[in-house]
Amino acid sequence: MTILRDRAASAPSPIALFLLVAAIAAALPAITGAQRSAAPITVVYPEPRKPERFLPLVLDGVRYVSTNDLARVFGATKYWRPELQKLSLRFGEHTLRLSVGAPVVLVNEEAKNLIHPATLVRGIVYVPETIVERIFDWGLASDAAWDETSRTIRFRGQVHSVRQAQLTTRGRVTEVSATLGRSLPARLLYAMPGEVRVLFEGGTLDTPQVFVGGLVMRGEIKEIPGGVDLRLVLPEEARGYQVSSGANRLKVAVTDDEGLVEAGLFAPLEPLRLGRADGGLRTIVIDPGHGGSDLGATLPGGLAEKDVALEIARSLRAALQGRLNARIVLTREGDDLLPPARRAEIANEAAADLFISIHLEGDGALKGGGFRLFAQTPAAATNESGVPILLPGDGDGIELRTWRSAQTAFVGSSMALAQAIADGLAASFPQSPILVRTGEMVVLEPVTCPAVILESAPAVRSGPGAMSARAYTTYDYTQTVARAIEEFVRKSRA
Amino acid sequence: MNETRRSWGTGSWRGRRLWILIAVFAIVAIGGAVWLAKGPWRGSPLSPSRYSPLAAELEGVRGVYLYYGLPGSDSLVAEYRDVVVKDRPVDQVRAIFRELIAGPTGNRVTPFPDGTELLNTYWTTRGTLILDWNRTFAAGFRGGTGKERQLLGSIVRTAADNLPQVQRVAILVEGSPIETIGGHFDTLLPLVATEWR
Repeated sequence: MTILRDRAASAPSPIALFLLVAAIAAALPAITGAQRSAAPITVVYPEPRKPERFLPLVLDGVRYVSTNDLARVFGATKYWRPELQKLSLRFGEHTLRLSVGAPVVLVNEEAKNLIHPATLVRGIVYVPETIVERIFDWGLASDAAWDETSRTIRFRGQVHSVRQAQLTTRGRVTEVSATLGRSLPARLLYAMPGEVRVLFEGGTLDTPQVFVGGLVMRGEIKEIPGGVDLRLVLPEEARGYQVSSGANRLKVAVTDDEGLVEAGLFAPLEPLRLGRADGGLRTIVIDPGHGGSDLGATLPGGLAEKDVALEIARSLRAALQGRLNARIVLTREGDDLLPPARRAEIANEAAADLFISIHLEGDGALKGGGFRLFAQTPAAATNESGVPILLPGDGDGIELRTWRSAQTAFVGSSMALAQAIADGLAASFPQSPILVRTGEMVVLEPVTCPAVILESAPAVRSGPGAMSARAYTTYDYTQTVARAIEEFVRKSRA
Repeated sequence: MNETRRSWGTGSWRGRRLWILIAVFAIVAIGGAVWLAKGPWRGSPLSPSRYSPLAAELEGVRGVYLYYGLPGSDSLVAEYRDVVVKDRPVDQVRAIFRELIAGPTGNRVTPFPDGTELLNTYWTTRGTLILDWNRTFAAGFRGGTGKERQLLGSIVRTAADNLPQVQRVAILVEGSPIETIGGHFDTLLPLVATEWR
């Protein structure tokens, strides 16, 4: 009795307590039916989509994958019949049907054995993991492969036509070359002292790169609408360039060797030709965006884009008049509603040598204090409206071009102008984000001279009387743009 | 006898109380775990909430990538979402764009004006998807080049990424072609998917 009393009265030791809790924790999964996870399956997608991993479950020693994961990874559509416990997965033209509890699936209505049955876990249908490999065997997915060793589903990426771009220097020649997956037409956008830009039309690029070395002060290769864009910024001593695009290799080479240019092996870097045939630049058209009932974007403080664009256009006119001996025309002097086509028409009627369309962004799609420039896309003009417009010809009489493709001939010089203004803004406002883009811009398409859209996002004052680091005045902004345009024009006359 | 009674009585009270506490804890832990795993809020296996509600045999669920704007930029980011779709491709287009217009879930911005509706969709055999929007889509748009780029990019990339047969997207507003939505990009002719990557 004494023994009984002693045992009953004694408190449980901490060890016994720990063992009890551990036993409960270990038994919980078995009691609740919770499942153990197996090693994850990795899915590698083509860039830019990020790889992902999902976890199979182990049920009764068999690895199962969720049909939700399968549908997401393979882009399949799920059709669930709850009353019948049947799930269909539609992989494009193919269908995989399965029933909960049945170890068989129907692939395009043909029965296939799964060995283990599909099962329902917390409302989600799970199937044995072996189905992942068999999805490929059954031809349900053709753009990926399953690697059993690394447990990876690897989607085949797009095979890029421009790959492994690299810069090399040999003597007085510096070249950027890349491997081509297929032959691509090379289109020289512009080649002028200090800069060469080439578009490999219709190409796609494996990796955007920046180059520095040899004669290349800064080089950049990237994808833009229309193809792969290669831009090389060169020193003053660079004399010639060479562009080639063969069956399996592209090459853009530059040299400072005058002899190679004179021998005709390299084309000379010559100033862009702007304006009339005599080299004169007579008219610049500035287009304040929007107007009238078309308010444009809402800017900080509730201002309308149309009003601020007009103010900037007037300021830019004053700045340009002080720098260039040219007529400056505004497409609207007041609060007028002008369709985009009319704006281009005004520029063409005025025989504009440069066209600058002024816009603003105020809704957060450009960081406050930032700038964005647009030139017309260099993509081949496939969308012809067939409406002809007249162009003043260089020699005898007039030239006819279709309305929507009129800018095509000036795309290179428009991109050079956009880049020159962007460089000027970057020098004056080093903290501001600056983007140069191309696109099918409705106001630029019909313009028959170098033409850009210049967009700015006003910086919000950070407090009473305080300006944010990226804030600038309209005067500073327009003076900077005018200076950049003046420099661009000066180079074209050099 | 007295000794025995005492041993189960006041003298051993502290030890007994501890054993009772452990037993209660074990019961609560096991019961709680079972309830958590199989409780009614999980949904019964016979009515899996994951796939409900699906009304007809020809309705399914598919994952789609919807493109929304990144704040402070004119770029787009994809958001994955399950949507209920019908079998016909045209119905799938409607379902995908209905979900796109409904807006993003995270720290992203929708480029669509409030009140935007997709009225009709049409296919051509040459890979052009024609989307007919209501008047608010264009009239309600207030933004600069970047916002308009996001708007058109969101439409084209959402269509091209989820419907592999789409090569071009044409924009109509109440049945008519429109020259531009915000005064910057040309929307008169179909937008080519590869140029909006």
